[in-house]
Amino acid sequence: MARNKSQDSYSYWKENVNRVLQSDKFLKFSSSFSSLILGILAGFIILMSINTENSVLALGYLFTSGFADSSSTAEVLYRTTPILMTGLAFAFAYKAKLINLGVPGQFAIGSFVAIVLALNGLPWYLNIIFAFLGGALWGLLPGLMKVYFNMTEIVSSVMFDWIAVTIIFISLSNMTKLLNASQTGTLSIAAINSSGVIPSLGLENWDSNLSIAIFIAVILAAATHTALYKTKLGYEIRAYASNASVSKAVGISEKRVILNTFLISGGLAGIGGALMYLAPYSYEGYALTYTALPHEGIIGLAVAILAFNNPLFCIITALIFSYLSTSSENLMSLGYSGANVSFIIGFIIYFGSFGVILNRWIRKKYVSRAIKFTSKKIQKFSEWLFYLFKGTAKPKTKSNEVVDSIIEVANSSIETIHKEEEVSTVFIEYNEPKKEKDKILIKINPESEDLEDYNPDHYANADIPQLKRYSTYKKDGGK
Amino acid sequence: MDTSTLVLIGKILASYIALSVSFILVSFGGMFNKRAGLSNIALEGIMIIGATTGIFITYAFTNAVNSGFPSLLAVFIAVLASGIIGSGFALLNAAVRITFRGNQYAAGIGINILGTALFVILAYFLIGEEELSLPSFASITLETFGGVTPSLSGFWDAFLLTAFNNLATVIAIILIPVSYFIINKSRLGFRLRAYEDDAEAARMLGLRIKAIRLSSISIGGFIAGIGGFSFLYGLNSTFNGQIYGYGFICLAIVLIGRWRPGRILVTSLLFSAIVTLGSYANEIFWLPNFSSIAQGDKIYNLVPYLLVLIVLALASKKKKDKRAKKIEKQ
Repeated sequence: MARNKSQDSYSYWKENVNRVLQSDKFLKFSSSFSSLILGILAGFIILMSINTENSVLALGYLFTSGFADSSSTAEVLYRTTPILMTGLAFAFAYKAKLINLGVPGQFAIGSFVAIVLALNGLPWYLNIIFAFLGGALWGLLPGLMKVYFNMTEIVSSVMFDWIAVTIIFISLSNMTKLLNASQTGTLSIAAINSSGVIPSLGLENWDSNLSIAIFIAVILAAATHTALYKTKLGYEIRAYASNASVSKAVGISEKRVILNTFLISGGLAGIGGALMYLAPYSYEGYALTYTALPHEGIIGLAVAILAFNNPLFCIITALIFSYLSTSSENLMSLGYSGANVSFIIGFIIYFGSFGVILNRWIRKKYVSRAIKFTSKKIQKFSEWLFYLFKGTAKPKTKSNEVVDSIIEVANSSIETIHKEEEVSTVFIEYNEPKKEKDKILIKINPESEDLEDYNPDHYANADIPQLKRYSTYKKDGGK
Repeated sequence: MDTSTLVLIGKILASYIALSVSFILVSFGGMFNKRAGLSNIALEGIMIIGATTGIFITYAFTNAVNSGFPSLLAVFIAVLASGIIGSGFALLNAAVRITFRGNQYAAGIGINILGTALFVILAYFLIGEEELSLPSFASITLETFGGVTPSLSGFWDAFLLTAFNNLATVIAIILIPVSYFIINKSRLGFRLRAYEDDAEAARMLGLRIKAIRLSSISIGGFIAGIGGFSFLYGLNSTFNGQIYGYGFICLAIVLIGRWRPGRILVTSLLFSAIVTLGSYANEIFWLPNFSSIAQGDKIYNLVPYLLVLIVLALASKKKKDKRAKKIEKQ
């Protein structure tokens, strides 16, 4: 067949691009990316409407000031740790289709346990283990409510959040020895019990709270990934999420799955609290409040949603969010409120909730059309270039693509050629021809057996778009 | 009984009415959403948005009121605006659920975060503080009608002046029978119930399901937004953009009341009674006040949450409603 080179590379390009665009991974990536961009755009609009003069500068701060100097880089890494842990907690629970809104409460309980034990002289590893236990037990409560009382975990876990925050407030108010002079927060752990803080191995020289906590968090992310995809428990959780009734029929205990999920999810959130507050450098301590949930717990949801509940991707999204929240503190120097970042995060969560569907819709409606359009243009341009360099005029035939597709069709159905007296005809039928129009007649010169020896003018009547459709139809394997 | 006890009873009854009205309205909003197949986590966010809109619009009218603009009209505009903005945010959530079929829970949490952030940003930008309370003209007193302010001496003074001191409460009391009428008597309510019973059959009969659902959700958002604004009147402290999980409590009330207006009314009256008693615990002699513990009065903050857990545990032990299952499938 007479195909020129440019066309071959072009079709290769087109196929590859289409394959990538149709893949699930690209869809997820584009969904996350577009919700991130849309969220930042919404934040920018708010910045603009508040103070137009400084808004561009503020946007620049938002993008650059996280890595402006070494201490803010260290701050980004330090803040990644708790966010990553709460993100893992959300992601783990969501893998079992459970929405664990109790993560802020479990985070608070974990940090409370870790701080109290550290101030009483326990070493850091025990503190982390007890924080895990505390968070896990607190996380177990909504699970028990769901299993034994058939109560929706969404409402009950929020109730447990506020109960946790209030109980911590009351009990810390009564432990006056652990509080600072103004009774607004706990004492610095490093000053009282140096074995209580997580070792930093020289990282604290970076003028920061950085310690090996970030490595612990990353290792735990990998461990969560392994637990989800390589162990029996993870398999059960995923089976329960994909179809609860079938998994029950197979013999997977619903109670066990729910309780285990809440246990591990709560424990991860609890460790997050411990990793955040057992910081080496002069840290202020846990601020006493009963009017707000810990912010880190809520950002974790955004981390998990943007990562599509994949523990390893949570590392990347946690970095992004800690970068955003660190650099948004610099916005306060320009006169903006620090709540801008939670506005952005709220928008990101909102767009992330239907990002995949929106992206699929956009792809269907616009992107595939745009690809078709641009690919046609590129083809024409490459042909033009080809003949330009060759130095000859383009032969005045029908476009090569059409000819090729006709040959393809004829080749594929060569067995069905009926030789008549003068002209052989090929009937190409769809599986269910609905109209007479769907039958396409191709006339072939009987004197030459070689199909390439055709005269394109004979095919003027053939309905070319339908032929194309036929060839694509064939490729799909008759779906 | 002596006068101080009577005044106390009057005050308690008054704040009971303010709080219960807010509970009832938000739960009714949740009921409208739930009946349209939207389990609205964003109820909390809509409450915050309604309160935010109300606060800022009343602030915007401060100068106008001082120079003679009728304060009742200003508050009425604020109430209306909070309802409209609330219904807008409910429709944002509905777009995710109905149009895109995305994750309604994530969208709801996003809206909750948006609500708090919007309040803090606007408060910081417009007024320069991060906690606000309503301006004084937002409450109705005898001054509003040109009279003099009486001293809170007797039961009726305390009761009447603090219970019906805001237009939100009055509008709310009107809205309660209205929403009952919408659900049980109106054409929209009839179609909504048809949709609940069998969505496919309703579609076959030619009902425009999407339009019915969206209008029900926007009505719910409207009511819940007003409920959020009226919550400000029941709040003792300043508003800091947090509503302490009360939206989720209203969601639980909808579940406990099994989506029926009468039961929801009774449940929210019960809830708000206990919450009010808890908040006045220090002044009621027969309730323990935990004075031996530092910050012991905060123990009563736990009451609504524990109550939700207990009542919901008792109420939802039965099998799920058939109706709920049907709607969740769609």
